[in-house]
Amino acid sequence: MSFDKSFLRQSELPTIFCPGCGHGVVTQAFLRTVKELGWDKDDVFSVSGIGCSARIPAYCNTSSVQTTHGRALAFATGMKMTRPEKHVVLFLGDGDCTAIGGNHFLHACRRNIDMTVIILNNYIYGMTGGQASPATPHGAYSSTSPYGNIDEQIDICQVAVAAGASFVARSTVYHAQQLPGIMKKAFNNHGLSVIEVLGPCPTGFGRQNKFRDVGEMYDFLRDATVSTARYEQLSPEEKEQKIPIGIFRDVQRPEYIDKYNAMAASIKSRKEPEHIECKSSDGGQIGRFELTFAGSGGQGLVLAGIILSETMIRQGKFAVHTQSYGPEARGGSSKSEVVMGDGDIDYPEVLNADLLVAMTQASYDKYRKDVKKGGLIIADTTYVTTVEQEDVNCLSIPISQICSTDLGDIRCANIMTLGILAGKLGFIEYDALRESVLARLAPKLHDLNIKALEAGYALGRGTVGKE
Amino acid sequence: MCNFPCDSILDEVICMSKERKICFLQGNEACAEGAIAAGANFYAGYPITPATEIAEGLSRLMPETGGKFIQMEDELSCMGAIIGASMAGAKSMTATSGPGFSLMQENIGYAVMTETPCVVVDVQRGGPSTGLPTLPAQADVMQARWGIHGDHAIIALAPASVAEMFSMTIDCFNLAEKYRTPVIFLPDAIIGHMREKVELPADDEIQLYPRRKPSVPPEDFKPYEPCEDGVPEMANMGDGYRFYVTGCVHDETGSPKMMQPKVSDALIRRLEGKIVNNRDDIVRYDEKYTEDAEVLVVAYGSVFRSAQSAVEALRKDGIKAGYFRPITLWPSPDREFLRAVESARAVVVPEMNLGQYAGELARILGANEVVRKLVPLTKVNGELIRPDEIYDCVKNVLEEA
Ligand SMILES: Cc1ncc(C[n+]2csc(CCOP(=O)(O)OP(=O)(O)O)c2C)c(N)n1
Ligand code: SF4
Repeated sequence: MSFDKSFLRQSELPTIFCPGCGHGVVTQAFLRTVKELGWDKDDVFSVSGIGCSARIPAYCNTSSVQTTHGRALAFATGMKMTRPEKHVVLFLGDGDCTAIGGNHFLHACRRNIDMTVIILNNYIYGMTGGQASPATPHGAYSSTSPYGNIDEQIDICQVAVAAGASFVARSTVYHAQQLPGIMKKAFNNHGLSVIEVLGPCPTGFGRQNKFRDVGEMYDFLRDATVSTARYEQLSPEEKEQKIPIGIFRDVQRPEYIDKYNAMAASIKSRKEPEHIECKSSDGGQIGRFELTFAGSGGQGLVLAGIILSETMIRQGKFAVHTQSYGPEARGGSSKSEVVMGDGDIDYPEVLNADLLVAMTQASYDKYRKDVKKGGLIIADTTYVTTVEQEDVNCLSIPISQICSTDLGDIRCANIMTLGILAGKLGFIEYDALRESVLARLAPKLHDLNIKALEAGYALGRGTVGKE
Repeated sequence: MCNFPCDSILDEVICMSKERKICFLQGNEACAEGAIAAGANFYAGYPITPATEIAEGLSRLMPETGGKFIQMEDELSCMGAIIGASMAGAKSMTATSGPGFSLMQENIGYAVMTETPCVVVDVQRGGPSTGLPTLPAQADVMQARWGIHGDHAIIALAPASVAEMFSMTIDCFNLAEKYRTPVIFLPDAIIGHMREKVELPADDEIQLYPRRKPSVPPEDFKPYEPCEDGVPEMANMGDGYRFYVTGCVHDETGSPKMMQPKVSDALIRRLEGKIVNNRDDIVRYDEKYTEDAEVLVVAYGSVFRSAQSAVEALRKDGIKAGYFRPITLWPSPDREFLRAVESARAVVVPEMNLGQYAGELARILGANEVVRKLVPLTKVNGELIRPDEIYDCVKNVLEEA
C-alpha cells in the first residue's frame, strides 16, 4: 500500500511518539484509509482529547482539533451536528475515553451519531508517565500500582455494545494490515462506530511490566488475541487467557442527526411569542399596586397572575410577575405576585401588598401580615375558615364552592377571582381582562371560564359577601 | 495579512418578525428568544434550576428555526459541544446555574485559549454547592471572572430586566464574535424567572456582528495572526482552511509551542490584551445623579432595580444619592466608575453575595489612589435586597460621615 505524504501535516513532524509506540501505526492506517476512500482532506475532522494518542490529529492534514482531556466526543458532537456532511473521526486514549471521558463515551454510543471513535488502548496513561488506567490489566504494574493493579480491567468493546454503538470492533497494531479494512467498515457505518486498537506503550507500560523490548509486546498482541469466531469456541478457562479481536457488532440503528432532521422537518412553523395589542393608557394613574395570589398548587394562581399582568399591559400599563418555585411550590403551596404600575417597575416583588387573594387557610395565615394597612384581602371561604380583620378590609366569598355548584367545575376559581378583582378594583378593565383570558386559555375552556369571569365580575361589583 | 473590517455589522437577522411587538415574557424565555434573534443555531443544555426554561425554550425554537438543540449528559459536555459547534461555524450557546457553571470552567478556558466565540448563560442561584437551588444570588461574579485556571480576560454582562434578557443575549453573541471569546451572561434567578413587559424589536432594528471569516486564501492564512484590534480572523472547520487547533500554547499558525517562552508570553498577553485594550468598545454601564451625588450606590442585576428605587426615594427626600450600574461586570467599567465617584464621599454596594464586586471596586479605588468610604451591603439568604435596606444604609452612611 502506498502512503501519500500529503496527508501528513509536515510542519508538526517529527511526531512526539517514542520509538516502538503503537500510535504511529494507527495514524498511518488511518491516513491510508482516508486516501483509499478518496475522501477530501477538507471533509475530514480529526478530533482528540489529551494524551500521547491525542496528538494524532496534529499529524493529519485535515481539520484537526485537540480538545480537553476526556471531552473530545462532546466537542465532536457539536461539530458533527453543525456539519453533518463531514467525516468526524476521534482518536482517544484508553484513559481519555474510559476514565475521564467515560460518560461521554456511553452517551455517544447511545445517541449513535455518525462518527468513528478510534481508541488507542495501550493499557496505560502514556503521556503522564505510566499510571494505571481503567484498561490496565488486573495485577499489572504501573507508577500508581507499584504493588500490582487491584482494579479490574474495563472491556471497552462490551461497554460500547451495551451502550448502543452500531459498529464495534477490536484489533491490534500487530494486525496493522487488517486495520484499514476495519476502518473502512467503521467509516461506512451510518452511526457511531467504535474501533479499539490494542498497542504497545513501551515507555509507560512495557518497562514496568517486564517486556524486554517492543518485539515482546508485539508477540504478546499476537499470542494473546484470537478471532471472535475462535474465541466463541473456547472453554471458559481458555477465554480467561485470551482477548477476542474482530467485529462485535455491525448493525443498522437510526442515526441521531437523521432523527433530529426528521423531527425538525415535521414542524410546520415557528411559534412566535404571543403579541399583546396594547392601547395607550387612558391616563388614570394607579401608582404602584402590589397583589399577591396565595394558595396551593393546582389552583391556577400562576396563570391568574399572568393573565392579570397581561391585562394591565393591554391597558397600556406595566406589570411584573413573580412566583414561588421549587420546594415551596412542590410542597403544595403556591404564590404568584403581580406588581402593577404606570411605568417601568423597579423592585419586582411585593413589599406591602395592596391586595391579597388567599385561597387556602395556610396561605391566609402566612401572608395576611404582608398586607398594608387599609389594604384588601379577598378570601376564598371555601378553604379560608378563620378570618381575622384588624386594620385591613376583607371580602369573604366562597369562590371555589360557587364554581363547583353553579358552574360545575372548581378549576375556574382562578378566573372567577380575576372577575371579582375587575369588579372590585376600578382600574382593571373588564374587556381587556376578557381578552387576556381568551388569549391564554385553550378554546375548549373559553365558555366555562368566560362564565366564571362574568359571575366573578358581578360578585366583585356587587361586593356580595361579607365586607 | 489580515484585513477583516473589525467594526462591521453585517449579518442578516432571520426568524424575527418584521414589526415591533409587545410581549409579556419570562426572563429565561426572553433569553431563548434573544438567542434566536442573534442568529444562534446551536444549543447544548443540561437541566438545572433556575436556568432550565432556556433549554426548554430552545428545544422548541431551535428545530423551529433550522438550528440544532441537544440535551447533553452533563455541563462539561454542553460546553464542549457548543465550542465544537462554533468551530464548525455555528453560533452557539449553553445555559446553566452555579453547579453547572463550575463544571464548565475547564472548557470555558479552552474556548478562551482557542478563541472560540460562544455564549455561556449562568442564571445565578445561591451557593456554594447545591446551595439554594431555586433562590437568587449574585455569587458567581468572581467565578465568571476567575473560574478558569490561567491568566485571561473575560467579558461578562449582568442584565436587570426581561427586556435586557433579550437584548443583551444578542449583545453577548456580538461581543463573542467580535472578540472571538466566550462571553458570560450573568442574570440572577430573579431576572431569569420573573415575567415582564418586553418590546421585541423588529428584525431590521437588530444588528449582528458576523463571523470574522478569513480575508485571505488558505495558503496565506494563519489562524492565530491578529488583526489590528488583536483578534484573529476565524476560518470555520471544513471550509478549506485546514489547520490544527489546540488548547496548548501555540504560535500564529496554531502549532503548539510549549518550549518557546516568547511565543507563550506573546499569546497570553494578546489574549488578555484583545479585551483589555478594547475595553472602551466593550464596557457598558449606566448612571444617574452622579454629577452631585454624595453617596454613590453601585448595583447590578436584579439588585440594581432596588437601588434605582432607593435612590429615587432618597432624592425625593432631599438626599444627594446617585447610582452607578456596571452592565459589563467584566471588564469592569473602572474609569467610568472613577468618574462617577468623584463627587461622592461614600460608595454603597448592595449585592447578593458577601461583597464580591465591592472587592473589585476597592481594587479600582486603591489602584488609583482614590480614597472613599466603601460600604458593602450584603445578603446571602436567597432574598432580594429591598429598596428600604439600601435607603437606610445610605442614610446611615451619611449620618456617620
Ligand atoms: C482534566 C485533566 N486531568 C488530567 C490531565 C493529565 N493527563 C494528560 S494525558 C493523561 C492520560 C492520557 O492517557 P491515555 O488517555 O490513556 O492516552 P495515552 O497518553 O496513553 O495515549 C492525563 C491524565 C489533563 N490533561 N487534564
Ligand atoms: S509514552 Fe507510550 S503512548 Fe506515549 S508516545 Fe511513548 S510509547 Fe507512545
